[in-house]
Amino acid sequence: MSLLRVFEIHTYRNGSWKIDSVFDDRDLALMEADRIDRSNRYSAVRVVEETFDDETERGGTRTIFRSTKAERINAANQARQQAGLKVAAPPPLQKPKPPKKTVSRQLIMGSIVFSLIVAGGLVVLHLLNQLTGVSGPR
Amino acid sequence: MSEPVNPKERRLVLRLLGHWRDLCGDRDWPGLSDVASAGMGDMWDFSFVIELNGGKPKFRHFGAWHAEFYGTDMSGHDLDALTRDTLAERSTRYLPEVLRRRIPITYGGEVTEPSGRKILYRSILLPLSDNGETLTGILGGANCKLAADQDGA
Repeated sequence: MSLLRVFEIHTYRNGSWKIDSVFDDRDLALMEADRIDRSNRYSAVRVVEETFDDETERGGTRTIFRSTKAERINAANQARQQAGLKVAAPPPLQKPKPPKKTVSRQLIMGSIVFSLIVAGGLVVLHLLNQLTGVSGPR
Repeated sequence: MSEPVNPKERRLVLRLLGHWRDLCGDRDWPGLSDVASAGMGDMWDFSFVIELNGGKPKFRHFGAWHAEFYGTDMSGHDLDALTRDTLAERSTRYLPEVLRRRIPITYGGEVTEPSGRKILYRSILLPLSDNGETLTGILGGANCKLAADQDGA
């Protein structure tokens, strides 16, 4: 039975994970990943172990190291909490205010009402004209 | 207890990888022309530089330590000319994988050389490109120590 095992270092660049390098030695891969992480060159780094069994032709992957800036921040906050220091709470969420009615909106509404009144008046005048034409003196 | 051929075994590859990263800067690969003995210190003797010019890959540089360990300075020779199962041959055997994946790869292991010398080795191959697209060279490095059952050999 032969179990093939490699360790890939992945770095997070430009919004996606990319394979940075390949090792067949776990310790070296972890040392290099730690060095990359400390360099702050990339926002995140991880080490993925890949195994493949020649006999069963089965393989698998698992992440054995992961480090991101977010995790470092979380770890720092946890450490501070454990040390009894108060961690500053985030500011309370403010309820969004409804948008103010603007002058232009009022003008539009006024124009629509005015137009309806004028249109209604014209219709009434038209009807009166027709009635006058039918029943008027010849 | 094994007799170390070089106490920098294993860590040499990380030092070379660190140097390669420095040469990279913001690029994916440094250029073949960026690699020079200056700035490499003692790593230069344990390194080799392979030229990829479209023909057969050949050594542009074969470090002094390798020349002594292998028995011949292979500078200017094709990789094909290396004797099978020597440190130099094992350290460059996975070149096709590096050319395919275009990333640094480090492999090591144990091998009995044709001379009967049994060694534990560690090697690394680092891709180089002068135009940022085509790989034009490889910076490599390797070192070893005699395997435990070779004590006193």
